[in-house]
Amino acid sequence: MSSGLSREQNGFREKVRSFVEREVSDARAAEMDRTDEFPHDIMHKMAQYGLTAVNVPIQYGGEGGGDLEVMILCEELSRQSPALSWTLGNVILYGNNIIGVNGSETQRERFLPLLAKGQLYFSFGLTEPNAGSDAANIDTYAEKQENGPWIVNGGKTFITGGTVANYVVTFARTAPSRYKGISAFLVDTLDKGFSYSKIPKLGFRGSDTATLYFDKVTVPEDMILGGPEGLNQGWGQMVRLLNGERLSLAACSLGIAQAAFDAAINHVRQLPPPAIAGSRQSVEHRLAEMAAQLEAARALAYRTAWMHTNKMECVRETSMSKFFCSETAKQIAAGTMAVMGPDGCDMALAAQRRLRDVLILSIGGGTSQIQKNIVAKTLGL
Amino acid sequence: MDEKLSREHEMILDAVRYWVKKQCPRTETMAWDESNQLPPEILSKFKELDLWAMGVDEQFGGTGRDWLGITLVVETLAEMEPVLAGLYATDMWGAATIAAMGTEEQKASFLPQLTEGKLPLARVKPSQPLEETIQFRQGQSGWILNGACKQVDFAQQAQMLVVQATAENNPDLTSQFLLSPSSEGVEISPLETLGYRSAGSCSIELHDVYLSLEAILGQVEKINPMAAALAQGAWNLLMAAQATGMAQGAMAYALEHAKGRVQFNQPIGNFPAIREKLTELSVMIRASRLMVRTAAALADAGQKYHAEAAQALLMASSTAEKAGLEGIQILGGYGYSLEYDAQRYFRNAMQLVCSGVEKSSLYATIGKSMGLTP
Repeated sequence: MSSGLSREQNGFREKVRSFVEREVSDARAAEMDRTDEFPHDIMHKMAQYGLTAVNVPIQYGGEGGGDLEVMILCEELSRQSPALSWTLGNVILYGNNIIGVNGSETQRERFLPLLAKGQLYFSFGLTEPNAGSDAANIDTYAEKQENGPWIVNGGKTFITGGTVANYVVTFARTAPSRYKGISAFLVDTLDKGFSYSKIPKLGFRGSDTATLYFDKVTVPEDMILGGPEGLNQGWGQMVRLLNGERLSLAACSLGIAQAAFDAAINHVRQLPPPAIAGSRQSVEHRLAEMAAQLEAARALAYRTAWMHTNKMECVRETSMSKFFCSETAKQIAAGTMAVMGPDGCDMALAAQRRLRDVLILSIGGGTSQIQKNIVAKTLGL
Repeated sequence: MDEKLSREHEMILDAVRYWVKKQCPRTETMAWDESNQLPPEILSKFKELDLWAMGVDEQFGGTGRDWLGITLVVETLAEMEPVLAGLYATDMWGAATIAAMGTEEQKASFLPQLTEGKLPLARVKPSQPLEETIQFRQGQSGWILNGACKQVDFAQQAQMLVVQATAENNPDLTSQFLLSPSSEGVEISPLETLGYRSAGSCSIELHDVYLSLEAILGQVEKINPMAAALAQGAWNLLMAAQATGMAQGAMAYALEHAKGRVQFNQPIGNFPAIREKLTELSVMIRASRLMVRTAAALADAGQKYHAEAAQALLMASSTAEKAGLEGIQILGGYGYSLEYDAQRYFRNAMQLVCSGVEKSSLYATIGKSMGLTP
């Protein structure tokens, strides 16, 4: 199932799987969904287990892994509790990855060792009420004080981990140019003028999502992502992160789809033998289709990851993976519910949660429609 | 069959639409969903419309069964509040089933109460995907029922359960039994569901439930071999009407958003990808609606309609599922937020698909009408 992965990577998958089996019971995953509370306890355990350090370079106290390890992690966590891949994302994606890829040396030295230990949470503050798919349309702006810091004003919404983050990587307009007038500020959430409100949502519950408010928040110049040289470089910095983020979201979809498929199989296996031989053919064929869909999705995503890891151009394949995996997972999760009948909609069982969870994966990180725009563009259309 | 309705049906439709607009504002329906309860006063106000009479013949106090009228009401309610639609539909189904199969005594006893909406029913039917069974056998002075049903909507408020059971010694013999939820041996436990949250759904177990001979719907001596098909045909028609209304509600909600939400300097509904989602849904909804009305018209004309009802439900349920899913996709992050209503349409649609649609039985019904043996 993990063909193309190295021995170490397969070993890492086993390591994550055993962590999940030990530390995230079905009941705990269900509880997180019910209470919608950020799982500080599991985050603490993940840090102790070294999972927060997976993609931090060794010289900063990390494990030295990359986007492929992040994918494996997201897939394995998502089989049991997709929300955990997002709460961990507040460290490994929005912290380790953003700072590792775009941070100045000073920022890397300051943040990466703490992130590796799971002692800091970061959020990615791009989306705004009027800037969803049209992400460059942001209204949040920053103005430089005479010889002094920047003042950030505006608001963000649907920000993952916005209630727990120590720092929000806040994209703000610093010049009129649509793409070259955006800078990313590392806003300390303890600073005056920052506030948030939590958004109750359909799935991925426990991974807090919030609306953020910036009312004259002061940010020193060295807290521009990449240092003072990062001014007006925000869009490019964001684009550099996209492949990795989209692949990790594709991996979340794979994990959910795998879990849904396993549940469908288990459901059918435990039914009494059919009274008439062959009478279960339509259900069996549906499961056969799901199995094929899942194989195809996983092959696409991991082949793309291999290209990405080997520094090959893979924007098209990444967008393909993002929409194909999420849409496929949606079909598998919905198909499983139909196979399970009333069990599919029982709130005491996980089948319904998987579909609720998966629905955001064709929205967040660029909708399926945006991904198809990208694919079409790379096809010369 | 065209969409033009008679003046009478137009009036029914207008009355229900007006009532829904006035009594079921979105903020309220979302609150009922969240609290898992339909307020009793809403139900009493709804009963003031006197729509239960449409399900019962004049000799029992009704206005004569009018399937087209009933499905119009169900569809319209489901656009905003599917639970109310389901509640009304269950009683209408019960009235039709009792009228079709019941003895004169049973009709005289139950139909006048149903006309006034005073005999809330719940349908207990074993689930096919779960391969549940409820079996009956004849004892010395009555019937004995055993079995279980994972999901029974409206069980919490029902005064009478209509239970579908199969003969212990003959799997081809199925009948309906009328019993009180408080009968000895009936165990009812609340069930938390994804959608239809205020429907008072429960799981029901029947342990050696003893019933009098008269509790079987129809003649004791001659069990109607068509009992299951008759019951299911009417049920499918009513579910199809619910699914159609739900799909319409979800589509209209997403359409409103698509017209108002501006990205890349224009309403997102102008983008072909979104426009096509909405237009495709509108086509599927229109097809579902016409199929429901065709089946209802056949039923009203006293003709066979079971295959048409099954076709309507296949179409309408996949339309509702698609509308629920696409509604969330079109609203994007807002679709995922519990502060918006797209997620309620999605949850209700999935509930209907999982617990109200048994595809293999629909295929069997339609296939049979085409000469394909199940």
